[in-house]
Amino acid sequence: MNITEIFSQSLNEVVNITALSFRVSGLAIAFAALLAIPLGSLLGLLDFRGKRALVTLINTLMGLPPVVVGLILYLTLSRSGALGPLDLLYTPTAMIIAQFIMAIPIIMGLSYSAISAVPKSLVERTISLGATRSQLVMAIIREAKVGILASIVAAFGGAISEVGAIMLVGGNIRYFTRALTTAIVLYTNMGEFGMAITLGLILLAMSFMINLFLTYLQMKDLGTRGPRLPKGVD
Amino acid sequence: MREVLRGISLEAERGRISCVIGPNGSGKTTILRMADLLDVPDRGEMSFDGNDILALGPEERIDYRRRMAMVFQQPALYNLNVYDNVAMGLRIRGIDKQVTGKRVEEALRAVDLYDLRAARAHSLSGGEAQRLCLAGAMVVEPEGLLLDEPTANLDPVNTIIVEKIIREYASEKKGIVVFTTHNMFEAKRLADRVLLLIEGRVIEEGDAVEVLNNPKEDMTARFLKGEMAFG
Repeated sequence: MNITEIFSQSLNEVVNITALSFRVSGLAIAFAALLAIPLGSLLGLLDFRGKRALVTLINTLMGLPPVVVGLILYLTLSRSGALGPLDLLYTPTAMIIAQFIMAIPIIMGLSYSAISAVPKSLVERTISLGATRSQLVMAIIREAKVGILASIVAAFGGAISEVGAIMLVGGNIRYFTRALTTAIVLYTNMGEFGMAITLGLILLAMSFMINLFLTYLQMKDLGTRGPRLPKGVD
Repeated sequence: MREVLRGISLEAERGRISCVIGPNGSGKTTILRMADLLDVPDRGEMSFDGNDILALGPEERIDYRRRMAMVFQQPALYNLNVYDNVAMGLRIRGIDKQVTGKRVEEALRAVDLYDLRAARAHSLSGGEAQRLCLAGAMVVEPEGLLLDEPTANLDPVNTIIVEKIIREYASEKKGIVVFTTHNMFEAKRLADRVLLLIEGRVIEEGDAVEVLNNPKEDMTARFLKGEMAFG
């Protein structure tokens, strides 16, 4: 192969790897958000027995090691596992499931925090204005929307940077289940540093963009509310 | 469990301003919260227009609250602009957009905040925030206006604006106005009827001029003297 063909093949592979990473993490987070935001909101809005224990459990699960999730899912999806007949091991679907599982407690926990942070005085003002239950819930979620959005962004950032779980359940198959993080590991081990660095820069750029957006949201929300030292104070 | 109020009897008439006066922690805020059904008494009766409001079902309670409006001592602001904060009560009631626009504009002009309608509510000063909350209460045209220390955090200029609005509301709209204060001078300026509360108990009640100028009870006189010393 000449240099153009090599470049073209490499570019094709980079595009494929990047697109897969976006697709897997994007879908995983989208599904996780659909489930976790309502659950996290309910947790923040309701009082019930065992709430404290549940919140502690969610906080614990937020720190779940990805490779442990990958291991459990691997055992479940393998031929001898409970879901072996579904034939999902070493597919993008398995990768989506792994990242979905890891994202749920993150989005749920951060949504719960955002909802809980809405001041009681504002809740009472809304009740006092004659809001129905659904109007009250919508008002609270609206007040917490930046925090809830931040939970999605944070979960996406975590998912796209994760390597352990998707390596185990995806198998890092070329043009099929090879994502940015697993590809970087592979090319580094192979000594193909050019490719590894290229993919690393792409991942870094994506992480930067995600965090830039997160910072924008936080600054927009804090805006005139956050603590700020006046000019001239050392 | 601590007993916050005991033996309270308060009657508020339309077109007249009633004041619950007393030191901090006397239970003034609790009275207003109960009137707005944010707290429920363990014993006793509460009625509005002859209806027992403690017996209301969930939907009836919402209807009742929509006939009242409460302004809290500490302003509670939505993370929205000034206009949307004031409009919130109307949107909750499903009021038409055009009507909302007109009423919000009138309310903002009444509290001298019209020029700040696009500003973020959290950027307002304490006095402006309190006026915003007052506008948010008035805009729904309530039958009952409950004000918890409405001028406690205000400078003299803002105090004059707020007191004028309260007076006009009672005389023009003929609504029920109940406000709380620990400031005897404000009670003298605004109130038609006064109820003095100390440690959750009614010490004296009656015509504002009578109670504040010629108190019958010794404790009333002592409270007023203490207020005079620091007021």
